[in-house]
Amino acid sequence: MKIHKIHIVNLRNHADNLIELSPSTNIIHGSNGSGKTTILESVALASHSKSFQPTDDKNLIRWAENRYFVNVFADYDMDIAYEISINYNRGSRKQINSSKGENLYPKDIIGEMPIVILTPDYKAITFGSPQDRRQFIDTVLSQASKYYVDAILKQKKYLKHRNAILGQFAREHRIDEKLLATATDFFISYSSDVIYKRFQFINEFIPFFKQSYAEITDSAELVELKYKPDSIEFNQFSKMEKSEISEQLVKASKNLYQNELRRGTTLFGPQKDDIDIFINQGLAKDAASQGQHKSLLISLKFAEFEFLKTVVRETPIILLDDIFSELDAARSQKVLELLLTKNAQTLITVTEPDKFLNWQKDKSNFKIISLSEGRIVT
Amino acid sequence: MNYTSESIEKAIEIFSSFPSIGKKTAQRLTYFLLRQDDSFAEKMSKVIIDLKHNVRFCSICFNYTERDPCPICSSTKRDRSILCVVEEPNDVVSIEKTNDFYGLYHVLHGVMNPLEGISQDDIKVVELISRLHDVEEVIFALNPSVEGELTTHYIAKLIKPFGVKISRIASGVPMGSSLEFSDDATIARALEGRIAI
Ligand SMILES: Nc1ncnc2c1ncn2[C@@H]1O[C@H](COP(=O)(O)OP(=O)(O)OP(=O)(O)O)[C@@H](O)[C@H]1O
Ligand SMILES: [Mg+2]
Ligand SMILES: [Zn+2]
Repeated sequence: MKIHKIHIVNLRNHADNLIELSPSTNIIHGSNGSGKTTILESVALASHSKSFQPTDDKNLIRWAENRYFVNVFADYDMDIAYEISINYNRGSRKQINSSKGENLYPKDIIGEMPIVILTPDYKAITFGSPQDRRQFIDTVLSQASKYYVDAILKQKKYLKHRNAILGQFAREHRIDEKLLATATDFFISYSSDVIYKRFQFINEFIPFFKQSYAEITDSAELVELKYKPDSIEFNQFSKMEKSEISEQLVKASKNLYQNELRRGTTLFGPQKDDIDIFINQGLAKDAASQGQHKSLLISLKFAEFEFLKTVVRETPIILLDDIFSELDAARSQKVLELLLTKNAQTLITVTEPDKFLNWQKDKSNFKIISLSEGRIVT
Repeated sequence: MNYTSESIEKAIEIFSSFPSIGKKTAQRLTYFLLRQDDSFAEKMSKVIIDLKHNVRFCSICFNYTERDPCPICSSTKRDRSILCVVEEPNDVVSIEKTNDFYGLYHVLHGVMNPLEGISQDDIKVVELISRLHDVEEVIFALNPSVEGELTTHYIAKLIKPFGVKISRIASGVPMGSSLEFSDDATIARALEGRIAI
């Protein structure tokens, strides 16, 4: 997928900008607060209707305005045109229209224009909590599988309903047992779908991860990923059937029933899953050095790119937000070289373009977009 | 405020309390009304008052009606052994338009939603159960939301002991969408391919 034009209206400090992009590398440059990250956010909005920053849509609307609008014109790898617009009026439902249809829901567009994002915030994937790692698999899998999007959305909804029923019992000692049983059935059913898909994903993802780690580090360090589903026992070497997964969840729900009533909340399910990242023999979050953490994160992201490209059969667009400020010159150069072999469209934000361009002998492939106070300057 | 008349302001306020009508549309409607003859306003107020005076719930199916029981419940041409359970009176209109269903309806007036504290007592579930004695089949046609699914299966559990055949419409209606916004052909297909629960 390649974007050739983005029209941004009233998004953060962008009033009205028409931005033309190169199909290869785009360097977005400008001082702090000039609106660089906002351009990447506009691409994320066009890809899955949400920013990659945890913020409410109403905070994205330019101050004193009532709506934002993003319109992206792109081409699929097969050279067929794709257009999408996101129009958000304060207080109403987001309007999404694309060449695929009008009045779409977020889940309809996820995966249509695959993107891979790397920002310094994603350090949390290797450093942080299980939730950060679940979020990582969820964003990759959601772009790869509509089935997963549906399952995870419903799983989360049923979790909330189930917690509401259990919570009411804990507070008021009243319970509609048939209702709890029905909610539990569906919770287990969609949880099994989620867990099954996560198993499958990790297995397919590992080879991509190992390969990109080797490419980035040129080292013989061994890396590994292990899925740790909550309440599920499994043999690492044999494939798990969905029916087995739900049987184990049913068992867990029976064992935990009294406890759940007392605590007033759900105590099992994929909302408690984790993925262990290993380097050599140790757990990355305990053992990895600073540099190894960076290499792990970058290779997870390159692996995400290769994985999505394989399953979605569309080259993802790569968004790199301010990452070179965190890497030394040698590693930056390595990342950039690898990037150029991917033949993907890339949007990179930098505060110092000079340092960046010096690493590159051939500058003809680069498009420089300069920003100042939300305006494109040329 | 911004308007030169308090009456205009009140009219705009009332119009903008309608679903999917914003301030701008409310203003347009108000100015439209002002441009009409007096007779238009009189006719309109009478229509609104009649609507509230004459329309009530059918005591059998809980659809809106002017005479109780409603024309559908009192029709001799309908198959009284089949009940179609829907969320809102709107949904009866959507299904009637397909001309494909000849049974009776039951309007629940909502779905269960534990998160928002809406339980079976808040919708017409007991009323549904009291109708089951001469019914052979119950078809659930609730919207394809998580709450619609939960309500369908919950009520199915409750009525299983009555020995009626229970099914739900096929999920031809896209998830997150609603019957109200689906075309006739989609609803007809969904009714056709109903699935036993
Ligand atoms: N709702 C809004 N309306 C107007 N301006 C906003 C709004 N939200 C954020 N801003 C401003 O818009 C700019 C957003 O910039 P953005 O995050 O894209 O900057 P950046 O160029 O990436 O900066 P940095 O180099 O510091 O990361 C900031 O100056 C911010 O204060
Ligand atoms: Mg930034
Ligand atoms: Zn009736």
